[in-house]
Amino acid sequence: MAIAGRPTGHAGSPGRAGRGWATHVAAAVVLVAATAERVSTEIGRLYVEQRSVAETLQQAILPDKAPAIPGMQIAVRYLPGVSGTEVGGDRYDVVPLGGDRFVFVVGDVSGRGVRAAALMASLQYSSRAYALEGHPPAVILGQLTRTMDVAEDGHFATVLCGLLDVASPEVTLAGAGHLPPLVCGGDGAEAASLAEANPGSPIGVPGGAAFEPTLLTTAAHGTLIAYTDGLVERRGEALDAGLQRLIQAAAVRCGSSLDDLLTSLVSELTGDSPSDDIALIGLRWLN
Amino acid sequence: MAELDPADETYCAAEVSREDGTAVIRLSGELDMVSVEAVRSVIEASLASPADRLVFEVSALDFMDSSGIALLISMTRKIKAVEVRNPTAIVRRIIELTGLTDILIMVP
Repeated sequence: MAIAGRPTGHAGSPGRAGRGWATHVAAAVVLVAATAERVSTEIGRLYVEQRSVAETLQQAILPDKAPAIPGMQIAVRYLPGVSGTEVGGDRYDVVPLGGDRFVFVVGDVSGRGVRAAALMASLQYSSRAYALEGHPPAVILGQLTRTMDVAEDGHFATVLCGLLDVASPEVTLAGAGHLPPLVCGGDGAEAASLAEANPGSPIGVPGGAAFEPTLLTTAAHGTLIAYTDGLVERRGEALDAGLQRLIQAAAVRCGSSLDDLLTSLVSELTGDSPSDDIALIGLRWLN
Repeated sequence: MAELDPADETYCAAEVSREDGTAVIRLSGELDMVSVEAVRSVIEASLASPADRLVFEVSALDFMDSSGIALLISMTRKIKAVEVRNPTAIVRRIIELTGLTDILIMVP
């Protein structure tokens, strides 16, 4: 300390000099405390603002309801998770291609926050554009891999993409590290099961194998549900346990209306307070 | 060693050791979006001296979310040989269902 090193000649009134020093320090401490409080308030304000920006972005991107496709009933849900205060990067989309054909997409960007929401937006518009160009799901995913890199972006994304023709029971699926869709109900079909498909490697992770399409044949009047992992994931158990819960709940509830089915799946699997965000899309063949 | 409060719901410990050119990162607890940055800084500090192989020993890792996966994958971009050793069933299924078995090599 400079005070301790002063020549004695300057210490004419050491008592007063000491008090003065202490007063300055006390004032500085108060100033620092006040500044810390302001900084903390400002951080809090920025945090709320950041969440609000991300939420606004997300709401602008996710359609409130799916477009009407004759012969097909479509329902969507987005539920924010209760843990953490940052917005997630879950999404769904339905892209009509004209006639009876359309593409559906469900995806999940890893992590949370403004950056995750921005990447989710980028993937939403990119996948829509590639779908509108007429590409099949495996090609759409292949193109998406060029738009993102976990090494630079800090996030990766899982995506499930399907191409349907309402007049046909066949769905062309391709997945990028996403959980398999559930199929339930329909004429002569088993109660509920997961579609078997190669998971494929996620978007933003170079080095994986090329995306392989899977052809799924659904039962007449059947239902297909695509979802993000927030619906089934619980800490302390393997994902298979959550997937089994989903299959069982869907088997019991598949006879309900599509809206009621989605509502009861969320309620039964998460108790209506999912810890992570959930995006859900349900498709039911009407003819 | 990066430790958060063990009483925390999201507690993760990362312990680093070196065997010649191999960095071994022993993870325990829950690697998620809360704990991932502390773990990332421990790993990056340990890689200040170059390693040609990275082993994540995860036998005591109870849970890993997508932020944790992102950390592991981002390491494969820096170091060619990345190994995930002794995963529990929970961690193994997360890696399998995320389609990452070609990228995060699990042993056994």
